[in-house]
Amino acid sequence: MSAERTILGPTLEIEGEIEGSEDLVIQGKVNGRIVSKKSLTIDQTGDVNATVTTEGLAVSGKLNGNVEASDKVEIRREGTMIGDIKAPRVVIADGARFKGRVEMGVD
Amino acid sequence: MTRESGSASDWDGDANAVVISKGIRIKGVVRGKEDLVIEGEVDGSISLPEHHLTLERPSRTTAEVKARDATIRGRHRGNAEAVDKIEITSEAVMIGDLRAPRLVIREGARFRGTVDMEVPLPPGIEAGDKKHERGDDGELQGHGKKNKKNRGGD
Repeated sequence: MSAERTILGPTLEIEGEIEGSEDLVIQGKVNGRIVSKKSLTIDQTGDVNATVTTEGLAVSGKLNGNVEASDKVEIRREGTMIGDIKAPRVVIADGARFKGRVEMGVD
Repeated sequence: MTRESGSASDWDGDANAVVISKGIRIKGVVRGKEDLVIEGEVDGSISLPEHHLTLERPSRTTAEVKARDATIRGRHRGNAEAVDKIEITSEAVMIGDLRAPRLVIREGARFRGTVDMEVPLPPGIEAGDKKHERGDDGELQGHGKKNKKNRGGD
């Protein structure tokens, strides 16, 4: 169990605010707001309804909400996201479902 | 993730538990259906009606806690209620009320609050001392002060 990473398992439901200074993996449900200084991963079982501020984000599950990342946002093949993305690097994989705006800071 | 032995004395079976580690801070409601270990901070409420909750060091929690059973090793402020058992270990610092049929407070633990072990006494132990039940003295040995045991409860 590395101390550098927290996994919120599939049966966990959180309503409110999560603040993290280490890598965070969500396999359960979150409703609210997530602020992470490191990477955030929403696994396939993850179901997140939140505004996300993070360094990096990878979505394999479901995300409903706007995201602002200082590094990178990746919506993987299995991922579904509805919301706006603001990040210098954005990757949307083949098969991913996405609805929203993307802003990469390009003028 | 079922647990065989019913004896949770000195709970040590966190191997499969979800860990909210020390870099994580949660403000709000945490609900779960598996064992959970908290090393970080939670401000709000934690509910694991059928599972074990460990407030591990160096956790800091300000929360209403409900669990099947709970082990408190960190700093906890708020009430704790367990279906089965609560254990306050020697490292723990807790302020709040406890409610559980079984309770262990280890030597060294710092605790302030009321304790309610309101359970039906097993047959055989007759009600020689009915102090246990409310209504006798009206209060539950509240050390003179008003009975504030219902604060935040139910």
